[in-house]
Amino acid sequence: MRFLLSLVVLLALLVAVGLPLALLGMPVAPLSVVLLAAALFPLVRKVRLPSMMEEETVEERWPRPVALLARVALLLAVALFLAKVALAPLWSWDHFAIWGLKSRQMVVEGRLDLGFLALPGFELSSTYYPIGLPVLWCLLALGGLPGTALFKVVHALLGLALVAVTRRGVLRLGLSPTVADALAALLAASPLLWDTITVGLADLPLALWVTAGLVLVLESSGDHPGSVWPAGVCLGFLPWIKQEGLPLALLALAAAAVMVSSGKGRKPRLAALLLPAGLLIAGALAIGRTLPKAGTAFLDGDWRGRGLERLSRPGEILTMLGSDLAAPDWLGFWFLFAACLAFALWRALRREYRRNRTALLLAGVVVLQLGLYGAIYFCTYLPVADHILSSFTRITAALVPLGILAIAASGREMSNGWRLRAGM
Amino acid sequence: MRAPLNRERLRAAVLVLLLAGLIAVLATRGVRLAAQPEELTGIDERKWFRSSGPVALAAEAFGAVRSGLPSGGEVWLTLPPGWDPGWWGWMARYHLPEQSIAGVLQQASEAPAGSWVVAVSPEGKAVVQQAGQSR
Repeated sequence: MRFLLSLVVLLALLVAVGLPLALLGMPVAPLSVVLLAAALFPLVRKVRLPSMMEEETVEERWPRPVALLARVALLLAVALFLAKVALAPLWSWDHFAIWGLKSRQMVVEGRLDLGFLALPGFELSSTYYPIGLPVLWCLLALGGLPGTALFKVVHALLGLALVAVTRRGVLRLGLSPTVADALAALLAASPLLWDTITVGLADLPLALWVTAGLVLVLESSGDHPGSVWPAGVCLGFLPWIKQEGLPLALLALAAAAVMVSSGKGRKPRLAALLLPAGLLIAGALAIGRTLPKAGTAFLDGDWRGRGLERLSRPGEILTMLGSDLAAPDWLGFWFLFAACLAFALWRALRREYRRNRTALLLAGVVVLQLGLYGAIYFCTYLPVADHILSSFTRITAALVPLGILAIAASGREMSNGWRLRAGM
Repeated sequence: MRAPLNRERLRAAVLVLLLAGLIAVLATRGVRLAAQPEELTGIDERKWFRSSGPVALAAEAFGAVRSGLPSGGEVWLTLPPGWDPGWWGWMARYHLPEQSIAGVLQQASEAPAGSWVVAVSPEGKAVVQQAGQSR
């Protein structure tokens, strides 16, 4: 797991360092990419995780057949994800017009050249979107032309990494391997991995880096502060991936800052988290300012007027959003999330805030980010129904791993409560 | 002592039920994926976006002519009547990244002299022409 999380951090650094260097003239070619990765590798080798064996090992309290069933569900879900990614064609419009197109256009004769973004005809490519992910594909293609095979392989590997990292987070939150397998299976079967719309888009990568960041924060408790700065790198990398990565990074950083603020060595841990995150966020914003602002943004025009007009009859939009979250595709995930959130809130109201803090912080990130998406739909210049239909499930899916961590944190307290009462 | 024991059993039963349900859903998906993978991707498309097109056909057509076009060259497209010029124009930009896609024409003869034209037939086959000369 340490190696996997180190790789996730390495990829973020590869883009965050490689893109500015490429803009300054570094060739995007096999030798330069390999040399850059080799130069960054010693840094990520310093990622430190506490071994699960060293920590309090979670007792497996479930009967063996139940544990086996959970493991079968996980393996089946992962196998189906891989099979579907292999079989399904790349088909989403945003891949051909935005994400994939940019990665295939941006390297000309071994040099990064973003001039095409200003050409007539590329206005619909959302030229102002962050370019970290297209750059990552280019770097992984060693400067060659990224194609279907690369997009699919990267998607599959990031998906596998996400499942593994989320499972590790559930274990770190104190749940048993059986429950960790079950929740990881739910993630692997969720629209984030199962729907092929996400292949070649940025939603799954966004989910991976935010989850990795928060799991690294969870790992940093006690005597293992060596995973705090990599957490800052992962969370600071979010605005390099997607526009909504900026608010998500700020929310996740706020939650992470509270989590690392307890106990001794609070200030160094906060600095280790916020310094790399701040640098990366500033870098993403600086590069974003250089990108042409062609095309139309969701909040262009009189967004306040649109928002007020729609707020006067919110039922239509809220019903659409609610219907989506209640759809069978989610396999009941959002109901489970809502129940666990309600439990954590109920416990917090009973003056047990500290014991439910992690659950509330993680769920808070999900709820506030969902609220932001809802606000955008109220103010968008697009026809609301079309906008919701074409994006809500996809962008919401990226929050599922965080929701699973929130469920796990809440479930731990639920289970502790049961145990306490059982002992009475 | 009986109450906690029952609670443990109840929790195990609930988890087994949930896992069985999840495995049933996954098994159904697996059977459908094995039997009709095209249908499954079609379900995604209907649900998510209604304006996608024949992506495999576009990839095949433009992929076949890519090596016959000069790098950096200006390329025009001609399409059969009724085909969406916007959609095919974007597909051309995606699949022919080394070329500059100038636009879509009704006929190849409308292209500036000496420029390159990719003519797509109603069967989805693409042919490269230059200044009216077939290659």
